Amino acid sequence: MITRSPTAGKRQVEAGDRGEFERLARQWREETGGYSVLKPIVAHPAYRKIIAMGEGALPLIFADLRREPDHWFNALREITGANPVPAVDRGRLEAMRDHWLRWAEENGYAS
Amino acid sequence: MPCLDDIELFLPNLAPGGYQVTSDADRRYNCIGWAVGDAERWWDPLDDNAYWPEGVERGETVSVVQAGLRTAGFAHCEDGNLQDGVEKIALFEHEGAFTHAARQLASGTWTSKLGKDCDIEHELAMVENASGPWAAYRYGSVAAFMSRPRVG
Repeated sequence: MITRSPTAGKRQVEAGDRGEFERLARQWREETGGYSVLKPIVAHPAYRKIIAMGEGALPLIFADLRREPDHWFNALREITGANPVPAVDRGRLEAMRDHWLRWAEENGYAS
Repeated sequence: MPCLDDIELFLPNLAPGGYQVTSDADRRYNCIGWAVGDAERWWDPLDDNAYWPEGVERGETVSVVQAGLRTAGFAHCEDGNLQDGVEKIALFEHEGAFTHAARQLASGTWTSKLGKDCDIEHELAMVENASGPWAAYRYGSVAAFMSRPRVG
């Protein structure tokens, strides 16, 4: 599980990382919109490539979550090993987003 | 967010003019949530980042989804014929896995939430699709019906 200093996540995101993330996120959204369950959504190759970006993807995912809540939680759990969402809020997109953004702030990924 | 542009491409049995888009795209809930009347949560029988009734088995089959929906008051029924005072849902399956749920309205029309996209009202067979161009919308065909007393 990632535990970080308050400034650790504030490193500069490379422009190439951002462009690649945005391309993959767009592809992921376009090609998974109709799935009724999360399994194929989070198994999509573009989503897996974002996970493979590792910690470098975290500031980009958190920025995306701030703009428009989406199902990034599997990726966040895989990359960080953390799960700040209590059972009572599972499935509640905006509540899950809020828990993760709080975690981001506490772990140095604040915007 | 607007609903997807190419809905008739993704679901080729949707007849132009034969269905209605009834919401914008919304990522907060999926077809199972919509079927049981919960537009606040994503219900998912496999993924623990989503809601699934506590203590109910998990898996990707229609029978697992039926077990979850029993907690919302639904029980197995034989068909999707309209009955006064009865709310029915249809569960879809493709290649052995649950794919989609639709709910019957009091008018006899069906309503579906399409994954993270929009809600539509449609005839039931219009969302059957086993071979369309996008895997995300291959809902297959109806494998089971369930019902509960209609409220209101």
